[in-house]
Amino acid sequence: MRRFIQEWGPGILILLAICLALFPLMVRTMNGDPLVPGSESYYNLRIAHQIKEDFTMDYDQLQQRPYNMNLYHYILAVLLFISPSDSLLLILSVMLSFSTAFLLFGSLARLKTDRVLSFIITAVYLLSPLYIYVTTTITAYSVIIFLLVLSFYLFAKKLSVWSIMPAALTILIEPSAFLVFLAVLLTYCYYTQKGYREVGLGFLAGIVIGLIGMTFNYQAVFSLTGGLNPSYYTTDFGATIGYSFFTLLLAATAIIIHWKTGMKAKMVHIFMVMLVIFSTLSQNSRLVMNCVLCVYSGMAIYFFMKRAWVVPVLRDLTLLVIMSSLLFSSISFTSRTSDMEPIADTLKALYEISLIDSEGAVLSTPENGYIIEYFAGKPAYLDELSQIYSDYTRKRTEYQEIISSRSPELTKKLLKGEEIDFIYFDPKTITVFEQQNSGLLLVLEHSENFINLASFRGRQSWLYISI
Amino acid sequence: MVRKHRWILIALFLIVFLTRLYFAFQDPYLTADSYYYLRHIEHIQDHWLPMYEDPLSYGSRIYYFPPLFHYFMATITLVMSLDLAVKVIPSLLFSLMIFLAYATAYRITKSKPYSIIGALFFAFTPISYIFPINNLSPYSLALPLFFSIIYLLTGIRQKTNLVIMIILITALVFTHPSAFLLVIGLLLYVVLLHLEHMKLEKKSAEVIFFTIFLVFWALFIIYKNVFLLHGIGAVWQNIPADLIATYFPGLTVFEVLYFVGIVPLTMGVFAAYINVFKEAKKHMILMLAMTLAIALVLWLSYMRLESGLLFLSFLLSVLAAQGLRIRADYVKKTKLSKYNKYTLVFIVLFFVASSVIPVFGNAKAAAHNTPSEDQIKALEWIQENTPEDATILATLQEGHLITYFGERKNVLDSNFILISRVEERFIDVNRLFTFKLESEAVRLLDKYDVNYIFFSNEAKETHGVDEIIYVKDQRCFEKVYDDNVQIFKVKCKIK
Repeated sequence: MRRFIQEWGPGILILLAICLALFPLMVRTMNGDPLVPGSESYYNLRIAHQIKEDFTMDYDQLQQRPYNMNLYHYILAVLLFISPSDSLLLILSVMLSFSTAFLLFGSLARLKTDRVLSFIITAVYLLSPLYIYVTTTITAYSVIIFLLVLSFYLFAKKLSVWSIMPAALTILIEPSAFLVFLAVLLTYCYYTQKGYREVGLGFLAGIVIGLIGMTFNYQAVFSLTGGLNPSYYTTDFGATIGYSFFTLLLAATAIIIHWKTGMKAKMVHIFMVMLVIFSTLSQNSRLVMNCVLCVYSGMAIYFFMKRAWVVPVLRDLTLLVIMSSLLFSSISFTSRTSDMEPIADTLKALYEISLIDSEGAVLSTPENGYIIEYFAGKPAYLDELSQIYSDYTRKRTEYQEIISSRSPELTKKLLKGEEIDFIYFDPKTITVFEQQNSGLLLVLEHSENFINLASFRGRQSWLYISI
Repeated sequence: MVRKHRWILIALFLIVFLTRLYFAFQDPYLTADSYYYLRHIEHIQDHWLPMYEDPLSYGSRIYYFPPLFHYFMATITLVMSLDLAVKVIPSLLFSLMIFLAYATAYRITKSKPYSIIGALFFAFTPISYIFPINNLSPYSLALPLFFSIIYLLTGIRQKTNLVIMIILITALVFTHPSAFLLVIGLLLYVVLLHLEHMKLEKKSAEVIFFTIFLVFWALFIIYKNVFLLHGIGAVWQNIPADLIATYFPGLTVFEVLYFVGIVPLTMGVFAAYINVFKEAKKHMILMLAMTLAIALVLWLSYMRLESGLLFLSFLLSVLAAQGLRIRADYVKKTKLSKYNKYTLVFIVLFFVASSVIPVFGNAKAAAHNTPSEDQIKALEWIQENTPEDATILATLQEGHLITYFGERKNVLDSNFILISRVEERFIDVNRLFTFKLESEAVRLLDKYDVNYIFFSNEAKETHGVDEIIYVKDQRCFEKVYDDNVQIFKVKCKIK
């Protein structure tokens, strides 16, 4: 086994990395869907385009709201100068994700981790849903995780404050991942009893970088969303940015197995569990904790492999089930990524909206906001960043009233008042509207003020004309 | 002596089996929910594949379930008719568990008489004569599989036991999600052993590792989409909030006393107490862990009460055997030792009086907890006289009867998983039996595309009404059947 991994390990990892990255993209291409999945990708692309045109940005013109500087958008804007197509920017995510995986492998080698264990940990990381998400979408997470793992690699190579610098840069994208990374690094320092000074200086460097960023309209925004319900952080229960259930299970197994390895190790385990619990509230910190959980999961699998089993057949069966479980989570998430919005029909329906010369907003669920803004070129009434609006509560109330109203007159009045000219539905939106006892669907079909612009497999665009 | 015990056990098995058969054949039908499984079994007989897509339930829906029980029953029908199999096999499987109860009790008590008493306790647990008679359910197979695994775990040192156990664990996982109980129980077993400063055998640890990963893997494979849609709430099966209290009424001591029996419960708890505070034994800890696991899932409302009590009854019966053994050992050390036999006889007689006799009453009532002849006749009329794509409104309890006997679409039945807006649907269906306002009723009937209303005595009892008021308007509704059950044709549609 050891010999096999030493000879073929890197090859297998490369193959795994390529397959998991390409599979969802290939499926999307074959289905005729836009190559890049996920609404977040289209927000990043739209902002990058605006930065490319204006060279700097402090206000989102389309959505009429202040813009908080994000280093990632500037990187994308620079790349847009050389990229003939927006979809090609996906190469950045793919390259960064590949590099992250191999930096992780390299870091483990630097820490003199057993070659087989390093291989397992990297394989578990590659199979994690977060790797698939980061690789197949145009997301700032790819840069964050790359910079953090690069920092760890440099830190493992040589203790120096400069090794923390790449991680400190992530503060200009989102601060919580950097802070959780420092917490993990401090735990590592506690375990090895060295490097405290460097981590401390790295923290200061992060603050300095953040302060410099503030002169460019940067604000450190900590977004805490989610909760202890697994649906928020476990992909097998429906989360998009989260852990695989089996990674969590294996990590828990590893902690139990290695519990008796001394007080210091116990403290490390306890602190890591606390960080994982914290990460249920913060999507960005899941990037760091996913790597930690993969290390633990790798340790559990390695333990099962190395353990002298009384019944060898049980070892083989257990390892087979574990491998199948990890593969299951990956394949399940891959198929979700392949089916993510937008699909070809979304584009067709939104194209009809883009053709109409009107400045009015498009009403849909907030989850569709970024896609509407990018493809229709019109403002979305609500999107996933609408909390920034000073009158967000009012907008949300109006939104609820519009979708639940059963009176055509009231609906028309509200639409006019909120300057909404278009309505866009996809099957998910219809489900959401129906769950809220929406009368909007009924009003649309029975009022002459609404014109159906397009309808493609449950994706409908409507134009509202006030007569 | 050995033979004597064997014959007693066989006699006990025969008594229980024949009694159950007697009660099962008192009524030609099964409980309403059984027809859901019957459709699946018939589908396998016809197509060799499980029915994952159902065109009738809720108008049309998708199922996710472990199919081994359905295949098992379909295979049985190769040697006997399905009508016979659905009556005989559940009773046979339950009765065979008497041997399992005896064997498990023997592993713990090392005493044949006390093991026989343990088997007797299980054989006449009141709950087992309420729930499983005339009820076809995967629990019929899951229970023996579950407790066979527990039994084999107590004798894990034998190599053949291990191989059989691996096969049984795999079978259980693909029979019913209650395999999850095994995981919780095994984890509690490890914790309790640790608390008692006892070492877990290497082989046991290996089996536990394997079981945990296999169960989770299989559950996620089978219920992937259910977990994605309902999240962790999938354990409550998307049951409407108004029904949660009915499905998961919570566990009270009095219910356990009534359904499991006073003697098994008190002696079982006594044995558990001695095990925890006086002398800990590994096998007892395993039983205790499993009992705690079931109590825990019942307390957290992750399992229906009657199913949980079935599991509990087995474990408490086995624990009670050990309780009696401990009691006897203690009495032997006292001046009352000469009365030992009498007290044992008294306990057994008390058990007979408090559990065995009520069992027959329960069994008689449970055997008749099936659809009435009138309902079946009306459903057959539906099957012969209504269009094939018609949708029939009936009560929740009659949902599976509509699809099985009527072969028509229903609006609601007891399988809520993956149904969107089930809460609203449940309320709407209830309102449709109690509404007075015709316009609102027509709107709801149109919403669910209802063509016929099935109004039986059960609907009258469930909704506390004697008639449906709005059907009096003959322009919109036509009474097409009236023979203790009324069927109304819906003629109005919203344009």
